[in-house]
Amino acid sequence: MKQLFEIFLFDVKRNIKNFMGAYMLIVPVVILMVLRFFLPSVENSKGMIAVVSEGPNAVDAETIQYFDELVDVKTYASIEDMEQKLRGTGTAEGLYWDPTEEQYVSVLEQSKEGNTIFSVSARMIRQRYYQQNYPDTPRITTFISAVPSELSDRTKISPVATMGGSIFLVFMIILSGFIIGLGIVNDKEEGTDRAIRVSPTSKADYFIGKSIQPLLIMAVYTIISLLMLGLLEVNIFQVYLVVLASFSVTLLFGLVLGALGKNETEAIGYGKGLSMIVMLAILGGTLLPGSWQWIIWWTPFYWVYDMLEGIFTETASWGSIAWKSALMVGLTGLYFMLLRKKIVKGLS
Amino acid sequence: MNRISSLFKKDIILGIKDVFVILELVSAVFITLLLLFVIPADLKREATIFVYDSTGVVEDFLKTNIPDYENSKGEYYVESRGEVIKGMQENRSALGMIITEGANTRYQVEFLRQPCTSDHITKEVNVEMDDFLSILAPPAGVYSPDVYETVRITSLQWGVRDILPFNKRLMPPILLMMAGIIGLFAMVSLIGQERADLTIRAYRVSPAGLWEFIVSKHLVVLFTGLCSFSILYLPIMGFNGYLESLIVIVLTIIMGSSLGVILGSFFKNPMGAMLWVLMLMMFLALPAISLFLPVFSPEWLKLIPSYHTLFALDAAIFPNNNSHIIWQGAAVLAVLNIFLFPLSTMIFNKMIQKKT
Repeated sequence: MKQLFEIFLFDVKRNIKNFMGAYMLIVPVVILMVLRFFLPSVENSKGMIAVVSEGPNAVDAETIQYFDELVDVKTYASIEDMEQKLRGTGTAEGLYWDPTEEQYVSVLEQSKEGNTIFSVSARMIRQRYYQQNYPDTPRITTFISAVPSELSDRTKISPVATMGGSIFLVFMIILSGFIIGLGIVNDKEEGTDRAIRVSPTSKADYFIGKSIQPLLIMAVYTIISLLMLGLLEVNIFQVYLVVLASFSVTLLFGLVLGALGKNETEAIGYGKGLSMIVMLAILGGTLLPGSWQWIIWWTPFYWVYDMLEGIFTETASWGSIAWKSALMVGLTGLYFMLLRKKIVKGLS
Repeated sequence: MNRISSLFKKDIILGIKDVFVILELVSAVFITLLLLFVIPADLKREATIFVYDSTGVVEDFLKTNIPDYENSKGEYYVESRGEVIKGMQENRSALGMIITEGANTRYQVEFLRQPCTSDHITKEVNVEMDDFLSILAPPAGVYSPDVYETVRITSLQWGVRDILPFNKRLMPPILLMMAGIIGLFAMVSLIGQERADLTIRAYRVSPAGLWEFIVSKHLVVLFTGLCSFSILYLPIMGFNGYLESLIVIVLTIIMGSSLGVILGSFFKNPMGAMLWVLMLMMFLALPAISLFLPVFSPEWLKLIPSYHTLFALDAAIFPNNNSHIIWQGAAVLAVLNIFLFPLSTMIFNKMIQKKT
């Protein structure tokens, strides 16, 4: 136990000395701050209408104000400027006033041949005109909007925030794996591992000692990320259970890097290769429809992402977390067994 | 020139020996196989809205006029309220709509939201449905001709694009991560290794300049990146847009490796730089959201250089009268590189002289 603690302290001191400690504190906070700033802007994204607001083709201020309540309005000085926006990246519609025909012109980036009716701005213009000019005509629709009772127990947290939280924690698993792996490689390069071999420290003490710091970092950042991303309503115990279980993936990641990498360059190369699997899991988890996600069931990262998504959306039960955690740990164990010879050889 | 050539050979041999080059190429082959044989091209889009239209007025119109509406817009027509709710339960982002005959009005539109749905969507759908049903209501809608005359529609381009294959749509972010910003990881580890082995000290007492040392590393990264790019691109896309994509990816690789040089200059230990590398990778991946969710396209996102890579690659892979996006993206990256490349070399020179 004492040796184990010594290894932990040795790593902490070394990381403070080479500023790693500071980076480990700063970098995830910066990432969280970027996510904190980024997520609301994704959540609130609306369709954009590029409106000409100057010269003879200007749309009147009242119409612009009406549009502003429903969509994102961006004003441009001329038709050319507005069309330039439409030809660029992103999706937008244009709008200007034609003084000759005395009508608005809704400009689309691309449309089905012969479309003379359907565009977002055309709908709004017609509706506004109809309501202003035919106030006494009975309305054709009754519009009711509600959350169905079957879904009322669902969280109000947006899917973007839950996705951001899940991706961040998966990222922390990788980061922790890198810390363990590169720490082992560093010891190999500096000969610290040989010094430890002649000391009373056992191999188990060494590896457990090396894992304490990343585990603490993950534990601390889990709560910080929940606070910063506004995910406070989630079941924190479930989150920590998943984080603890997913530490098996971190350990495997770190051991593989430490064993395969003869130097830091090699370890980083392997780390990048393994990070691709993470990227696949995240891309698959976010872009593939549910019926196609079996394609990435083989990666433990998918299960971590899936469980965290379930917890953050408040749809995960203890039962589902238990079997998915078991499956994830089982998969990790399977990969460990497959790579066991290489890991043992690389670390001995 | 001879010196750069010798350095390049040495760096390639080291890159292969340290498995960096091999790993990059193997990863590219693995991803290519996945894209070709596992990830489907004709993936049916997940529903974004489930509609139960008991009047048939909207459903009939769309099915007659837009046959592939479900695939292109993600609107699914179902047979009961229960199916709408079931669809919404399965997909947390999906919305629901039930169109029935109204008690006091001709139609009743019940818009079913998820608890997290933004209010502005409700307002937009309200206007949209009022207008839609005012046009479609048999026999000839309720609008008088003057309502239609208030606005006319024009388009910069007529004709609807084919539905893009799902596996090919993933190409821009994959090319960015696998080839474009390969230099972030590679430069940090290549420079870090030279510093750890103290070979950089030996190099400094040779007649060669430090800029040659760094140019050689850029060439290795460029070579590996271009091999990865071709492995990924050619089997999936063939030569369609290859040249345009190549130009964009070359400029992105130079940008990524210049950033890698800056990080490698500041950190003696690649482990320290790794955190920043991962952070930068995440940051550079953010504009991919805009690629898959075009409605999210704030101006500030364009300040992230990878935004231009992603959209330029997308325009090259899926040509649609949008070649200007390729050249705009390439121009932005080229201008950035004009500053970044010498700056990174200068920082490297200063830092190495200071630390060795």
